[in-house]
Amino acid sequence: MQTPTHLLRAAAVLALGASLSGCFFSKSTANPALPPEAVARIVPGTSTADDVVAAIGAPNEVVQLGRRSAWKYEHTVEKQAAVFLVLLGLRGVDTQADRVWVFFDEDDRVLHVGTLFQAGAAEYDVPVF
Amino acid sequence: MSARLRGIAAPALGAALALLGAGCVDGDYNRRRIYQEPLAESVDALTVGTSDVGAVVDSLGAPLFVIEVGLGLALAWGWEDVTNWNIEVSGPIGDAQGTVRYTSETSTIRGLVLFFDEAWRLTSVRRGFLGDLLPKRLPPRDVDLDISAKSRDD
Repeated sequence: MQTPTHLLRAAAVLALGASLSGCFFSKSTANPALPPEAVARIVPGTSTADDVVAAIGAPNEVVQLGRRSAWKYEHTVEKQAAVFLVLLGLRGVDTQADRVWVFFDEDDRVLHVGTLFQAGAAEYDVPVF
Repeated sequence: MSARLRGIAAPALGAALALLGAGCVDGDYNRRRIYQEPLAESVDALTVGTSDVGAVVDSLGAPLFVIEVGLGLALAWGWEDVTNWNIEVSGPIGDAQGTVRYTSETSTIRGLVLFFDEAWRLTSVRRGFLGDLLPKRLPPRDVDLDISAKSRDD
């Protein structure tokens, strides 16, 4: 039996398309993770700057606020996923963070602690339209 | 498939593959998501003149930026969730090589910035593009000189 020509052509196009397509996944992080249980040891009105350093280490950023100050801790996770088809690439990038801000009074005693734990929500997400 | 359609599809496919093979056409569709928007109901629940920094960070979580503004400060949140197209076509134009690129990409980092007075009490809430909202950062300086100068100005 002879294979129809148009089926052979379709198979050839599919094979070419498959050979020219690809995909990748990547995950990158910045700064160490911020364990919630360590952050919970920071108590406004009681903890000092030394206690904060002992609990979660050195900050990523220090902001002067007059005689007061604020320290920033941030751990980011970026996930990328992409599919490359014959004529088109589809790529998704999702960046999320765990972030903590500690506000100090002029005696370096903790006034407030702001926390956000969203790094775990970063997803590999290839967009479709 | 009709013979006429096959007659059109085959050259079109051939041309597309030839362009691809020559690296003449390149397209991509991207989604970029950066951080997340604070809950609108949490923002709406804040009260100007009453809410302080502690209440705000308890409600909205840690901001992206803390910026000193005068004797007070600003807390800023930023986020983005966009999709965009990029298409590039290149090829010879006469004796030269030409490239045409289309992108639907725009800078769309949205923002929420809350301003606080010297007592760290909420004075205003602003929403928009983060780049337009962020106050200028002050360099490190002698605090006592700075505070006394600002007190005189007030």
